[in-house]
Amino acid sequence: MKKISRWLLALSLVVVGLQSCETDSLPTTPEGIEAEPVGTLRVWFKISHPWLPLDRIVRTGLHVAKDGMEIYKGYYLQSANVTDFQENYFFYLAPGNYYYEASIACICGGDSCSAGGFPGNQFGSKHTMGRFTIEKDQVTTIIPTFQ
Amino acid sequence: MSRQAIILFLVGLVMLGCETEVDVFKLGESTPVVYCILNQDTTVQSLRLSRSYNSSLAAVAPDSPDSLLFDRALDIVLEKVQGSSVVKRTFFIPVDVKKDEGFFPYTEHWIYQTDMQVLPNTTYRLIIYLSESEKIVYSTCTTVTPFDIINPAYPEVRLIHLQTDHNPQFSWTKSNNAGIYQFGFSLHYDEYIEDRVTLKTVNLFLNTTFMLESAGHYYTQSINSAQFYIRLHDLLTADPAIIRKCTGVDAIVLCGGEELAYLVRLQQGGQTFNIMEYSNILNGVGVFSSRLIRQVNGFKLTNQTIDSLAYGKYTHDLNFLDRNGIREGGGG
Repeated sequence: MKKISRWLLALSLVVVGLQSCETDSLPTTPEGIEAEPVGTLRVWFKISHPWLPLDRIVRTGLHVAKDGMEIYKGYYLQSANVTDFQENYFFYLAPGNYYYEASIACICGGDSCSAGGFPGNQFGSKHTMGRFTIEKDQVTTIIPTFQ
Repeated sequence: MSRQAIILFLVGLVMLGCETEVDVFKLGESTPVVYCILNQDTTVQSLRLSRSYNSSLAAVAPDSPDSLLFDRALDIVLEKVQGSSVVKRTFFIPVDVKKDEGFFPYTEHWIYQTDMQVLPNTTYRLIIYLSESEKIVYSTCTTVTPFDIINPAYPEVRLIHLQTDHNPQFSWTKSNNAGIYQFGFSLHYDEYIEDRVTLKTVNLFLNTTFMLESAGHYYTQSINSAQFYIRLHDLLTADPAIIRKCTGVDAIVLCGGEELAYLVRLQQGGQTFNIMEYSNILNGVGVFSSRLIRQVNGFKLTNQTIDSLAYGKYTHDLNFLDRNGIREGGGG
C-alpha cells in the first residue's frame, strides 16, 4: 500500500512537471490561414521630352485603379507621392488586371510649354494611362510614355 | 592636580576641534532658468525667465510661490555682435501672458519681449543683470542659416497623398548651425457650426530628426501617414454639432539651432529630471538658441486622403466632409 502511494505521488509530480513545461505556442502550420498572394508593379517613371529641358518637366501624379472607369472618376486603389528625385515607384497588388494613370507638367515660363507641346502655358499637363497585369510573386514593369 | 587640569584642557581642546557646524536651515541660492529661442521669422523675440532652488544646499522652501519669478524690472539685453563689437542692442520688457489651464506654483506669469530682426548666421548675445545677487547671466548663440524645402513642391500641380501605402517624403537643403528639424503639415479647414463658418488651421508636426553632422546637399525623411490622422484626432475636438471641410495643407519644416537640439534630445531620451543637464547659459541654466520655419503653401489632398479624413478609423468622429462634400449617414 505504501509502495503504491509512493508511485502515485511520483506520477502526479511528473504530470505536474509536464504541465508546467507546456507553452502556449502558436501552431507552426495554421490551417485555413494563407497570406494573400501579391505581385509587384514597378513604374519606371522616366522624364523624357523632345523639345523641352527635362528639369522643366515635373511628375505630378501616379495612380492605380481596378478599371478604366475608376481611373476616369478618380476612384484610385493606390496613389504615389511623386517627387523630382525618384524615378521608380512600387505598388504591391493582388494578382489581376489593373489600370494606371501617370501625369507630368511643364513648369517653364512664358509660352515655352505650349511651344513644346504641352496644353496651355506654365503648369500645362499631359496624362497617360494603360492596362497591366499583376501575377503572384512577379514584378511587372511599366514605363509611362507621353504623346 | 595640574596634570589633571592639563588633561582636561587637552580633552576639551580635542572636542572643540571635532565640532562641525551643521546649518540645516541654510538659505539656498536660486539659479536663474532662461529660455530664449530667437525667432528668425518675426521681429518680436521672447524670453522666459524663472528660477529654481538647489536642494543640495539644504534650502528651505521659497517663502512665497511667486519667488520662482524674478523682479519685473530687470535689465535684460539682446545684442547683435559683429567681430568683437556690439552693433545693435535692445532691452527686453515684461509682458503679461495668459497661462494655460492647469496647476502652476505661481499666480502671475509674464515673459520678456523685445523687438529685433534676427539675421541668419549672426552671433547674438544675451545678458541678464540680476541686481539682487549682483550676478550677470550670459549666453551667446549663432543663428541658423536659411534653407529651402525642395519636396513636397509644385502645389499648383501636385497633390499630397496621406496613406500608408505611399507615405509622403520631405526633402530640404541643409541649414548651417542647425541641429534639429521638425516637419509636417498645416491643415486648413472650414469649421461649420450651425450657419456660422470659421476658417481654421492646425499645425501637425509629425516627425523630428536630429542632424548635427554635416551631410550632402539635402536631407530626405518620410512621415508615417497614420500619424497625421492620429495627431489630428488628438488636436481637434469631436463634437457632433461641428462639421469640417478640409481646404488644403501647407508643408512645413522647422529648424532649430544646435543648442535646442541637445536639449530636445535629452528630453526625448525620457530623462525628464535631467533636462537641466544641458545648458548654454553662464551663471544659470536653460537654452539660448534660434529657429527658422520654411513652408510650401497651397497643396490639395488626394480624394482618398479626404475620404480617410471623413471616414477613417482615427478621424471619423471629427465630421470632415468627404470628396463629394457630404457625409454619408448625415451632415454636409
